[in-house]
Amino acid sequence: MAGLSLKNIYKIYPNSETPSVSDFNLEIADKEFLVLVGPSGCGKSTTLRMIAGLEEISKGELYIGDRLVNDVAPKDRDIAMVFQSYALYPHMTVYQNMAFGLKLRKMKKTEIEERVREAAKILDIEHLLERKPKALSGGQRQRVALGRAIVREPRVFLMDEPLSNLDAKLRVQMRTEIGKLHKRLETTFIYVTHDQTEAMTMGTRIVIMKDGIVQQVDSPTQVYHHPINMFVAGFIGSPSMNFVEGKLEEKGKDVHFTAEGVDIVIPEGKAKILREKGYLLKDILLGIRPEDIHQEPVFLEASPNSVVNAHIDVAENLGHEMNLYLSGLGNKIFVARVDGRANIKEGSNIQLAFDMNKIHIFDKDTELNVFEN
Amino acid sequence: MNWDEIKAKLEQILDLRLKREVLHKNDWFSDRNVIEKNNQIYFYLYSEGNHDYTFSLNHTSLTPSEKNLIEMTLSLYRANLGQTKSTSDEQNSITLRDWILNQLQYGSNHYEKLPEPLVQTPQLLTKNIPILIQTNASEENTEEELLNLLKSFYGSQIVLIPLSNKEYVLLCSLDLLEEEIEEQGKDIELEIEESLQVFSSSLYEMLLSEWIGKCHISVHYPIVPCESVLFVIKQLREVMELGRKYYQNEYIYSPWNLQLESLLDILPDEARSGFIKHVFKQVDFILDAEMKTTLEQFFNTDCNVSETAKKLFIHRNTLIYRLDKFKHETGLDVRVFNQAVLVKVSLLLYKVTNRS
Repeated sequence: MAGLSLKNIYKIYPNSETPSVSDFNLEIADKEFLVLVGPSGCGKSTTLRMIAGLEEISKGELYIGDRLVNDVAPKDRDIAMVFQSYALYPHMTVYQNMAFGLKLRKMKKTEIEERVREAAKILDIEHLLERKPKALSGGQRQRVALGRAIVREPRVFLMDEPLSNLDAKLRVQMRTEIGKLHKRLETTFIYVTHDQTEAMTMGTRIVIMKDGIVQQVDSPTQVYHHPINMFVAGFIGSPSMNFVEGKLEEKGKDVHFTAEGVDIVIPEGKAKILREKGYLLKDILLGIRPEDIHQEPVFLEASPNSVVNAHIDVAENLGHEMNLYLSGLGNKIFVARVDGRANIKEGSNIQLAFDMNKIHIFDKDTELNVFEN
Repeated sequence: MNWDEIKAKLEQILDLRLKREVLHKNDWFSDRNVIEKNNQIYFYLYSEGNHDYTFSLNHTSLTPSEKNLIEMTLSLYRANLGQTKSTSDEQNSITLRDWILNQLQYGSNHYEKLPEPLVQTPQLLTKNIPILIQTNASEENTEEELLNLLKSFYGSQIVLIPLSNKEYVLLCSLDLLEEEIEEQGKDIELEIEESLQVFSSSLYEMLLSEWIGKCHISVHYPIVPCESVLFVIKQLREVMELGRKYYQNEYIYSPWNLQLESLLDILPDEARSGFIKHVFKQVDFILDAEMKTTLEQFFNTDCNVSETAKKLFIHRNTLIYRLDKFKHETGLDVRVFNQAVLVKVSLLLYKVTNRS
């Protein structure tokens, strides 16, 4: 088990105009479950491959424990990797697949057997040990790939989108399994995904990346409730946070946010910050999550200063909740998540109230969250 | 001296009768050379296929010192055999490599067959999967390490020919693949590309975890090495060069995945730049990093707007805006098949002309 330290790491491919990873700095604690998340091409896999030793580090230093490993071969880094492809060795049985790495390390046969059986037990694949990969389902293959990594008892587990080849149901199941595995093995896990739900549910900390640059590193709760910029705010959460472009104006002693179809009062605490930072009369973006928009009469009565009128284009009933796709608020489609039992009619108008304590204000030029910077 | 002569000598010295016995292969001899079973004692000699060859005799007719003496004698002989074998294997491999390198450099006929004295192993007379492995590692002894690793991985069904300390030709017996395909009841001719893909992916992943890390591999259709090893090496090198040129972030290349690239690569430089200029007009202005990523992702997702937007984490409308902007500047709408083909080809050509 070990922590990792990434210091000013860059990856610049030859003939490329921009770095694929730029000035990546991070301390990863021992036993942490760190998730790297971001859209396609953001540099998350490249970062993981540099940690694994599969890509050279163009600039910067990488430590596993106290050891500088920039020039250490992957097999000598004491790490284990699980990839999206989980290419099992097709000519070997499940047992041989799992035992191969240990055999190479000249481990005693009895110890190999002990480790393989133990890992198989953890992953519930004891009954598959004599089968060849072709006789396994996708989920079983994924477990074997995990088993191959577990038996090595590495200091760090690296996983690159290991669940993306599985169907949705299996993915949810394996997500939980990997979480349990982390708790059981008490080892450092670094996990790459483009799926923000995976990131939120699995990570003790999340690193959100875009264009090779780290946007925010924090716990799932923090990045969800305190996003540092518009990108993070929009990337984390499904449906995404709503954004509406408008202006802040002082009316009497209140600060109002006005946009097309919106005129709401900013709570005093937040208004004070906005005044101090000079955002009055400036173009800004207001962000609010779908679940922070309410239709319950009690909430509407209690929040007369944040009521808006919208038109319901589509009502998507998921049973326990309903996603309303609304127009008339700014020039974009707004999404509100309300109780699934609410009496809502598609094509009708609706009165809604924003939970103003949950709003975010973003600088239009820098896209930074005014309250978090 | 051979096993029979050793048997005769031991019988003469110890005044006892040894029996040659063949056992069905089991794990009995995996960590020891002597086993006792049903009042019989078995001394391990060697393995062949699914059988272990042994000398056996009645347990009670042997003292502990005699047992140790037999075990030691057989171990010494086995070690001596192994050494002779590996030295001669090494020599064969060097001769084969020298002939190949010489032919590749000076030979005019790439269809030249292997001269008979070089066909030292029967494997060269049967069908093999040819694979080329290239690495940037400059470490010493990688050849021996790689050979041992591959032997542990595939057993004895491989021939490794090091062309340099960064380039290796690996010939894997087709039996390794046929067994798999036949077990699945599939037709090898129809399944060959898919199976070779799986085969090379597993090799690549094993090399990543257990060898020196990053490497590139190219794979080709099975051949009989004694007939066409030179030709296939040339083809493997071409596929490798093409793959590395067009796809910097990929590591496994095969001719069936590089058909378009191989066709485009025949074009002379002037024709390439002329084509790009004609299609894109102002290349640098249009193809900034964002537009390049957008178009590549769009083609990777089979021109699916929603999927592309999801992968790039941009709003669908943002993607449509970018594609419209591209259309406005080039006159090409990548949502239309014929125009998408032009852009796809130009993007591929742009990758290589930009670098040269």
